Amino acid sequence: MSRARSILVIDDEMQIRRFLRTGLSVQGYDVIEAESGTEGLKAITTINPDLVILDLQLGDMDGLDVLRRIREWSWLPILILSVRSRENEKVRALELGADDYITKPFGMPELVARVHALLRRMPAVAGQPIFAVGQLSIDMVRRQVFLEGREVKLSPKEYALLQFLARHAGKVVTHEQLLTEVWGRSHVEDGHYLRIFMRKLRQKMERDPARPRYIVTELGVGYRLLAPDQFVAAEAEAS
Amino acid sequence: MQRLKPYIATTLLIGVASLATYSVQQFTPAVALSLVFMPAVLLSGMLWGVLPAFVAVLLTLASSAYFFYAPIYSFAVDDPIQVVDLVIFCIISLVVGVLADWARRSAKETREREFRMGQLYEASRRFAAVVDTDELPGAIVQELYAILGKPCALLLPRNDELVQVAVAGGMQPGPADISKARWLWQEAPLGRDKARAGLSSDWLLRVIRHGQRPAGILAVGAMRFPAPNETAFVAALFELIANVLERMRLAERVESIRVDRKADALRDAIINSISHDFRTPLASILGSATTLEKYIDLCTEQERTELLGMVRDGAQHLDRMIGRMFDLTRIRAGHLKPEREAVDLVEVVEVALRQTRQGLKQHRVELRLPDEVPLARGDAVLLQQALVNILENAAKYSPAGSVVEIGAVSAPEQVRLYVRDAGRGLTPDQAERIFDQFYRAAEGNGEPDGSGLGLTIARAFIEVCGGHVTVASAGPGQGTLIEVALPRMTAAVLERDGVVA
Repeated sequence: MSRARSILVIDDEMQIRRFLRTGLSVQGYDVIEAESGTEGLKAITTINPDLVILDLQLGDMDGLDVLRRIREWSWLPILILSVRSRENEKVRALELGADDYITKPFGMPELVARVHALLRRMPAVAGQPIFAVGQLSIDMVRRQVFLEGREVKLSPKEYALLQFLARHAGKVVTHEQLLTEVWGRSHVEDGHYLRIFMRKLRQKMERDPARPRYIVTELGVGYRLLAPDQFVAAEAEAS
Repeated sequence: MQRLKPYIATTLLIGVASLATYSVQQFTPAVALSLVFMPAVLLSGMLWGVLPAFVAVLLTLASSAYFFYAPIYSFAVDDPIQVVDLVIFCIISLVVGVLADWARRSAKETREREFRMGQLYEASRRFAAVVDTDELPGAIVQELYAILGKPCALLLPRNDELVQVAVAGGMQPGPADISKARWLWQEAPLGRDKARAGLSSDWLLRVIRHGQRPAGILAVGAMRFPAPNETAFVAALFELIANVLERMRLAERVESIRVDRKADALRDAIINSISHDFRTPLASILGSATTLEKYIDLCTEQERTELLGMVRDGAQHLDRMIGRMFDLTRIRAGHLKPEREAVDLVEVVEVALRQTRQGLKQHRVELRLPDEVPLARGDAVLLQQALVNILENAAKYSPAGSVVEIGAVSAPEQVRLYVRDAGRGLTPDQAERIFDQFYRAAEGNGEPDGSGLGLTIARAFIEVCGGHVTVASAGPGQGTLIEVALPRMTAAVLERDGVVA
């Protein structure tokens, strides 16, 4: 890596900016701070960061508005900071084009894993013919799925779900995005389709569906297929 | 025709009297005509009123002059004495007619008044018999409908808005009537309802006042009401209703004061409990952090890790407590707006287990989740938070190394999720109170720390999703079973969409 990647933190809480700066600097990132939405928007145009961490609770403007304004002209990865019990806000942010969210309070390793996933995902995953994490590998060309060396037979819908998750590996995918992608626009309201097929998929892919290793549930928001480094971190945590 | 009846009857009566006089005169000429006709006039006045009585007098004059006083078959009367007789008859008959009519009217009025008094008395007796104040509005409109024979509706202020609380008589005021009533209600405190009534389509609206204070609005389904001679009765009736409403208002106020008192006591308990419970994790964070700050060079690697772990655990503990306070506030403020979506309980268990990993580290978690657990209907996030609280409770009150079992079973129209621990169990009395707010906190017995809110919140979250939660324990030392029953995502919906085929 020739140049340190830069991360813009937009948050009106000084303490949060401070701990993010410390935690991310240690990881070798260049951290720029903005303490308001306005300042943040200006910073994006002038310094062109590689990633934005945006708190939805800002003093001067609604975080969702800041997000909307950024998305009007830029596709740089955005990680949202939200709080508990605000699932609708999180879904809304993801729909407006945020790439992922994390719920405050959070541990630094969790945040760093998200940041890694977002920065690495950019050039990497989209064009890869094979996606692999842990003992799971998906051959996108042959449409085959292997778990622990054995092929897993999936129905077309199950495969479509898994493929979409794999294309966004490491990142949360909302129920709505999955329903639209796999069943079509008109089925956006049919959450039970998704629950049932998702359960079938996980029964085939997970040894213990209530303790999934690959596809984890983000309740009220969607699902996440863990990226390799997230997988490693989760396995370490679980043991 | 109906109105002519008394006159026709009067004419017939005089005809009969004339015939009688004529028959009597066949035997004796010396008969006082007035004696025969007077009863007819009296009868007519008593039965039908003053006008028919006057008609009777006129007919008597005509009949006497024509048939009985010479010259016969002529209206002329020759004998001056007979003229005097007729004049006197006239005067007396008129007086008798008027008196008879008066007697008739007052008898009728007395009867009616007695009947209305009886109705008022009956009504007040029935209102007094209603024990539950919530039933009073219903009783009022039923009673009013029985008395007036017209559909009635009662509108009372509820949270600053006038709403229809009871209706009787099979008809409902329309939206236009309701908005008219609301308008009338807004004007009411200003005393602008001078007539105390507003006519809105088919409903007559009237502001019921207790003293000057408006108490509610009565709507009566009638164009013209009350009848002119009944204003006093209706006023008395409304007065009675106003008193009943006042009684209801006072009862409600007493109740709300009682609830407020209880809420105050609870708030004090919360504040006491928080200030106590927050101090423990704060003390460990501050202690560990300052130790590290000052003596980091003296600490071994292991001690450092331990101190840092204490900072993290303390912070996580605080986060959980703040989360609970937040949940409790949301419940109490009525801000919970649960989703009613398809919920896969396996996902709920998955996320709850991830969140309680730390707390359940020392326990053996066993899962009994069949592959075909039906989908529930509810709010996945709230259910997960409820389950987290239940699991934390199980972890806290059961020994390290013991089994915590999480399972799901399907029942008709329901799906049940249960958590069984091998902990200290509960006495029947404890089982009954375990979901009460601050049950643990209220004990103040130095138990494992916790705010005593977890299960209260769990129950509120489950119930708001349309489910219910029960607790069972074979007794102290026998472990505890908490079972959550939730409505199933109905088969009809799933079949319609061809998901289960």
